[in-house]
Amino acid sequence: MISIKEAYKIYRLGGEEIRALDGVSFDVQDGELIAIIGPSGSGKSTLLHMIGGLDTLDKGEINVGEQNLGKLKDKELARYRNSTIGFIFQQFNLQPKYSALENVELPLIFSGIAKKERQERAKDALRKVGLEQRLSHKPTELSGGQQQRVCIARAIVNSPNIILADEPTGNLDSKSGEKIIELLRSLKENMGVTIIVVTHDDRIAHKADRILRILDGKIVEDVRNGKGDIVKEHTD
Amino acid sequence: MKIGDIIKISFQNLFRQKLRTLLTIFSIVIGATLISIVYAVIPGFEKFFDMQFNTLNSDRLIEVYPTKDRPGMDILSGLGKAPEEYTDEDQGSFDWEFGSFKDHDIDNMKAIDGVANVYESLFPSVDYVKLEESEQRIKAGFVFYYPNFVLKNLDLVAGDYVNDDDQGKVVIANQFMESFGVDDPDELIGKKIYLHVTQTSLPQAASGMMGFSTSTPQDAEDKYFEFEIVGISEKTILSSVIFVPYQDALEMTKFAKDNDKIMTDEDTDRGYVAVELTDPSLAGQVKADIEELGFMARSYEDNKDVMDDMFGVITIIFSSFGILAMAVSSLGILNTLIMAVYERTREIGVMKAIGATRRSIALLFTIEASLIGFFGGILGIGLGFGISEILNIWGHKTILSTFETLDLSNVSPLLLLGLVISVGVSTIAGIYPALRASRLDPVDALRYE
Ligand SMILES: Nc1ncnc2c1ncn2[C@@H]1O[C@H](COP(=O)(O)OP(=O)(O)OP(=O)(O)O)[C@@H](O)[C@H]1O
Ligand SMILES: [Mg+2]
Repeated sequence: MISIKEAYKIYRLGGEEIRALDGVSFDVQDGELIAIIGPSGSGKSTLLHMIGGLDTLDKGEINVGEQNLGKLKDKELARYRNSTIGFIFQQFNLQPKYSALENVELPLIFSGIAKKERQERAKDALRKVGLEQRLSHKPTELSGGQQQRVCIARAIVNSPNIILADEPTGNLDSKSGEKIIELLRSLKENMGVTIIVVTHDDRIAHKADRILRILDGKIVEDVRNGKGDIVKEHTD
Repeated sequence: MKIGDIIKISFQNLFRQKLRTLLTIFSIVIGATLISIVYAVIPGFEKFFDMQFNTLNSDRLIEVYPTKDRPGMDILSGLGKAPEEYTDEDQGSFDWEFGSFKDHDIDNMKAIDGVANVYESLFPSVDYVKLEESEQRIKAGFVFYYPNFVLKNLDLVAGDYVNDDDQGKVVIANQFMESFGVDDPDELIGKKIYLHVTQTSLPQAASGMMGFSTSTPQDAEDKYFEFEIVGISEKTILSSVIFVPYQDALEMTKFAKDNDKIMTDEDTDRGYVAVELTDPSLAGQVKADIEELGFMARSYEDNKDVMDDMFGVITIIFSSFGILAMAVSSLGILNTLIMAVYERTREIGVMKAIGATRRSIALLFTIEASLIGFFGGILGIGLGFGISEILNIWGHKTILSTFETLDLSNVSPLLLLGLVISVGVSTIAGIYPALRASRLDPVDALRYE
């Protein structure tokens, strides 16, 4: 379970104060698929980075399972990011010189797993995203949708509890985007991972169990699946 | 993260910018090459001089000079300074007082504990030599009597040493074979050799410290002294040396100087004594006792220290050039890696997001720097050794042809020093970029375009 309490993140630029997170509190149940929506600059990515242990709060706390993220040291945070979290980025962020297989192996390299096991597990992850035929392709030799699937494979290769996706379909055409959403949904169902997706995309939001709407660093709406109409109104 | 993986990834990263990496490596090659040349060449010289040094030396030898201070030293120490006032004790502007041993000095030294024997050296001046059945005159630069215990450290290629109490026997330098046109040293053993001595008409005068004749008047008497060649020495830098027994050296000197008083208390040229120790470990004590008598004494260790110091200084000077060159190229490494950190900022953010620790990222960059040093060092050793090998081959064909034992391309563990320094300097240069990379804020890094 993820539990966020009174989270604040404030940037000061000159005299101006930007409240990227302005007292955010909510809980996420294990195995939930949550969509976070909101206009540009509302604090969605900031929230995701906080949950992913990439950034630290000015105030408040985030607990993931037993761990209070604010209390973790660099090494523990790295471990947390490595094995509890899987990140998916809008720009894929794959290593251009590495093959699909090597890209997926990377998190396992950081956790010090031996080559043979690493390759088995990376192959397995690529099989789950339907890319077992593309192991040795470089990112430039793959379509955008395929690159994003490599990215998903990289996110799941260490069997994380949580997947954090920041606009995963933002750089994809609608058809490829559709496939990515299907994939995320099936991961949640088959592997029981918790998925938090930041999106501008209505179709993703509609596939989610729950939708959080954020505005100026505050959660302004928290709806469960089935009340799609309400959500639609607010999505720009 | 496993160290093997770190090295592998660092290695891959190194060649992402091939040209830039090669140029950086090349810059460190220069320094590593210089250091390698130093460590290939200098031990050769050191070994060579050490060998030369030991051929006419012994750890049981203490050399003694009759004055406390070395004569003429005030020439050097007075250079550049304002001339001092003359006093009545002074004898001329410079002190050329060499002093001379007397018989009782020799007896006093013999009486010291730990002294096995005391020998006086003789250096009769010989103009030239002739081999039997030959009219060819060959110059003989140095004709010595030197005690057998020292002489024995010179290796012979044929025959035997002359003993202190022999008469009419000589050991000659290897290079005489060439002068005589003989290939097999054994051919010369047993042959007669004639040493030509010319008498100076100025007894005891105008002769330098070693007794070399400085003038040869027209009406000079001259004489051949007959010897049997009993030994041929190995090749040394003293290429025209002939070792004669004491009695013969004494007679030749008496004749040359037309003076019967040589090696008596009336001889004022007794300027060198070789003291033989019963055991090398007594050198310090015996030396102190001799100095107590008012003489200057130099032990084997003293001479060796001077030589070692000299080579130490030469090595340090030359390797400093290499280290300086490396220090300069370390700036190149620093620059290359700082650029790499910028280029890979986003990638570093991604690595952090997927679980790289600060330590892993710092190591990736540090090892990348070390690898630059490693490849630079390896190439430098290769190049340095290659150059010294060429120097060696070319040198021995030309200017160094007589010094067969002088090896300018020594393979020794010291060569690895070039590599070690190169890796060390590069690694240090990598520390700052590595820390910079490891401390990047992952969120900023991920946003970086
Ligand atoms: N390093 C920073 N310094 C100053 N302000 C920042 C910094 N990072 C983020 N912000 C501000 O915090 C606010 C939230 O940013 P965030 O990236 O979370 O928005 P977002 O909801 O992800 O927007 P988008 O949909 O455009 O990605 C923005 O106003 C942004 O300008
Ligand atoms: Mg964002």
